Amino acid sequence: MCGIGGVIFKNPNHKRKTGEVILAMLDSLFRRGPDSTGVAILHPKEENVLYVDVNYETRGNGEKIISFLKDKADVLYSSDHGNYVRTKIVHSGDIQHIVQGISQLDEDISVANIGESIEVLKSLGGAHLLDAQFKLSVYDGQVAVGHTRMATESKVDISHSQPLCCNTFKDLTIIHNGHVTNYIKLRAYYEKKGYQFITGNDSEVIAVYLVDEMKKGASLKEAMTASVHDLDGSFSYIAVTPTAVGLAKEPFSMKPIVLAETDDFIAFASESLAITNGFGESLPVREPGAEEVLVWNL
Amino acid sequence: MERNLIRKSKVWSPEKIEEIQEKAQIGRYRIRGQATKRMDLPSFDDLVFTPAGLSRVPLEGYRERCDTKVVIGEGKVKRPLVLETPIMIAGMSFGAINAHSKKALGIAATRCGISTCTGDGGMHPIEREYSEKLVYQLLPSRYGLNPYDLKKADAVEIVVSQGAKPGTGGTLLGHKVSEEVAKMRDLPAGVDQRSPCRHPDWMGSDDLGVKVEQIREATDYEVPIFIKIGAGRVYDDVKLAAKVGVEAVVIDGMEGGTAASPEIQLDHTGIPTISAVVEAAQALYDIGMKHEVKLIIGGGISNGADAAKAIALGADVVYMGSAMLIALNCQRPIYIEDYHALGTEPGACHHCHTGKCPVGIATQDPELMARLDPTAAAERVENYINSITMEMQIFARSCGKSRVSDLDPTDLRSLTLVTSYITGVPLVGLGGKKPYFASLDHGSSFKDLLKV
Amino acid sequence: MESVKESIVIDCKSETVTSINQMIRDFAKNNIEEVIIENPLARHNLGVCITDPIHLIYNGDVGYYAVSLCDKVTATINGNCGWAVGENLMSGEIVVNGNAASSCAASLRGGIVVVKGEAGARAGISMKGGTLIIGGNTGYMTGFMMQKGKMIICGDAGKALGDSMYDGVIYVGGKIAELGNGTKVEEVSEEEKDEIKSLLDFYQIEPPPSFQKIVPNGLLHHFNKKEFRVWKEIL
Repeated sequence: MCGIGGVIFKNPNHKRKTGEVILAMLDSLFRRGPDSTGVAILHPKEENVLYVDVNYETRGNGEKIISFLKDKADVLYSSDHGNYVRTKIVHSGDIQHIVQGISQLDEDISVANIGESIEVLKSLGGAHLLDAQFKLSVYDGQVAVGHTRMATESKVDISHSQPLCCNTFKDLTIIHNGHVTNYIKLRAYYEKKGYQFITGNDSEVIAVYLVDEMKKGASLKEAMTASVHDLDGSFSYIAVTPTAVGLAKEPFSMKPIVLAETDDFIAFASESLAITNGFGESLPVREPGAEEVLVWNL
Repeated sequence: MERNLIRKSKVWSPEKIEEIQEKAQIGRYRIRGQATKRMDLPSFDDLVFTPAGLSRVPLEGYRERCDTKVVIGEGKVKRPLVLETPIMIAGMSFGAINAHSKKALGIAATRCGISTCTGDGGMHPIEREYSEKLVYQLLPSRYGLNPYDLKKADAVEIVVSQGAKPGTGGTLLGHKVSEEVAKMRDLPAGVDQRSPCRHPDWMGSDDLGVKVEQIREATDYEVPIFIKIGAGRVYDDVKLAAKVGVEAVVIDGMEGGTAASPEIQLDHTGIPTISAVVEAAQALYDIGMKHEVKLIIGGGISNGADAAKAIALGADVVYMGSAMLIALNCQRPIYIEDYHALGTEPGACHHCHTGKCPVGIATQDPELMARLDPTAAAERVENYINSITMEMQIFARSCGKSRVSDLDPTDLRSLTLVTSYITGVPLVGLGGKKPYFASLDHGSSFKDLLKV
Repeated sequence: MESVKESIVIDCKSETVTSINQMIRDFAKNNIEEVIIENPLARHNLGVCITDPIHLIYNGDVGYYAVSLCDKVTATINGNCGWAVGENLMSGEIVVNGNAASSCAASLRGGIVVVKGEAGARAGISMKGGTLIIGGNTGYMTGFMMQKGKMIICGDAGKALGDSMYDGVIYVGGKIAELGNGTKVEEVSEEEKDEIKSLLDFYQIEPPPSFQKIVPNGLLHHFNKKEFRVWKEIL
């Protein structure tokens, strides 16, 4: 059970910085999800540049992760936040040995995100910590999508916080409100297929599902449309890739989400209160219907 | 040559055979009242109290103080719910039972300083009149819900599900939907009623926070709010309920009663009350809210031993429903020919769903209702509640406690391995500790074998 | 006390939800006729449990449970609503000049709720009386477990319309994606057509050319083993 919110700007004129908008949205969704807060943001692609974000628990592992990366690549930026490492590196070729190499450093280390455009920032606690730790308010890119978590069954720690990705794939991330009730079955199936899961969180299976469908040739929209019937339980979820953002709702319409669109942006959130606070004004919203899948190309 | 002994099978028992043949007739699952009749569940009977001896000092049974009072919502709401003994009468709808039963329960509860609860049928004026402390249930069906009754309540209990049939809604078969019941529930009379399993306007603990705020606004922050959940995924559910910010969490175990439920569900859904109470207490403890949120446990609580053990394991109050009905007269060996007409006997009757309750409790039929005299019945329930209170005090005093609420898990030992594992309470005797003769005997101990 | 026709303004920006609700209740008790609520800014629980006559005007969007658990209240909401607007209304009138999200008029008992725009999933769920009018489309499971009352949907209806209805009637002007279990379509009488038209005219809603009438088919009222397919869906 959680809060989700996000904004996609249509043109470079932002009355408010994207970072400020998403922070205000997530702040007003705190009650829905007091355990942790996370965002996914998009950067324009640069040649051979990767954003690598890593979860960890044991003290000292942050340094281990950064040294490992410095060994394997050119690290343009790195910061250690006590349970999370944020880096920007230069690297070409296969990402697997980076992902595996980092994961093998210690049991509590796992790669939260790896992407050419997508960066994921997470913190335990409320949205203001995202600004304190990562200066999120300064970000003014095209897309920011965020999540406030109320843990239902799995642990409250940084690795289980959203947005979540598929461990072996870059540039796809999801945020999810609800509970996927057939995730055990799906996870067993995907594990057999070779996918690695890094959390016990049911939401993670959505990312793996989408990656698998798209590997088979489906577009994001086709994959999300199929997911509406293949996943069971309650969900409203958002998927982000460097070229598109999608929103899907299950057939029973159990989890709330509203949409607002103006000439300048598209915004969505679990409660319209978040949109009002995000933009500082009341906007007409609509509620997507059961089984509705919307995909916006960037 | 075979001696033709009559041998019954475990799989194809007489009960199973009857079940199959009945389903072959009716084309659906069987529906009945009361509760699960499984004989194999771990229960509070598997635990015993270890009273004071020399290592601790017991209290005088007849002379020294032993407090039983519990307050729910103290310091949080303007009118906390005060219970003179840690027992509450569980929700049983007007519809499942009738006005005479409600009146008797109300009178008894008032005399004992405890509460009754409306159940899935709305607030009946007789119950409000005779019960001094009335918990008002907010259920998925919303039968009878209105702002005036909300304001008259002494507590509001948001029901997610009940122990007898967690994950589903209530049932009242057509022959019990009398004109009066139909009017209170806004249904056509005589129609089979099935309540929805989810609330219409919130689906998930994230939205529940907003609903609780609405109820607080409606009741001016005056009365405590509880959340009741049938015991399933207790650990996760209790954490979520506590975090929503309510005064008490109610967990109803699989032995909980009902007036009508699919039999297959009674027997195969939910977890036993003894396991639910420890999961719930652990959940509250793990999130640091054991002292903030009261824990109310129900589901087959039948005497002061069950109640005291539940409290020792972490509950603050016990909910009792079926036991109260039995005190009213349920299963009483009177009007025996009417039990037989239903195909049952006193002591084995579970026919609440038929509306033909031989003792006049679970029926709207005026002729049968007349068999339950509210005044005499009230006295029986009052006597029963008082006896449970005294039994709890026996256990508390013998363990050296001057308050029933001071009973804790270390006052208990388990007679069986399974219950020890379920509750974390050590086994009686050495409880797995290495005996003095282990070094002298060269055989392997069971515990060592387990370590493999 | 003499009835005073007064219009009082509450600016939500500087008030808590509790103080807003308390003020409205006090005004209603003291015969104030109208309260204008400015800057609701999509907050939840604005207008809860008001049981004396008063007219509320909301200028802006409201969150969940606006005008819920009320009796004898009339309201105009100039904006969109979150979940469950008008929940459990006992009598009175609510007009939403905008869209309503899921569960609008949940458990409605009396009076009338009018949504000029669209409604989300489960509109009028568990209705126990009263009238719900939706000017636009409505979502999944609208009218689920309806017990009494009347619903008029001018636009299209989503899947599972009127599923498990006990009683009551739903009129649909647009397309029905799928009928719910236990329902059937009946002829609309001339008398009903006139009644619907006059209601829609009163609320200045353009009536669609025709309506379909959905009522319970009675198959779900008592279990019938011969209708297994019907019961398989809902039990």
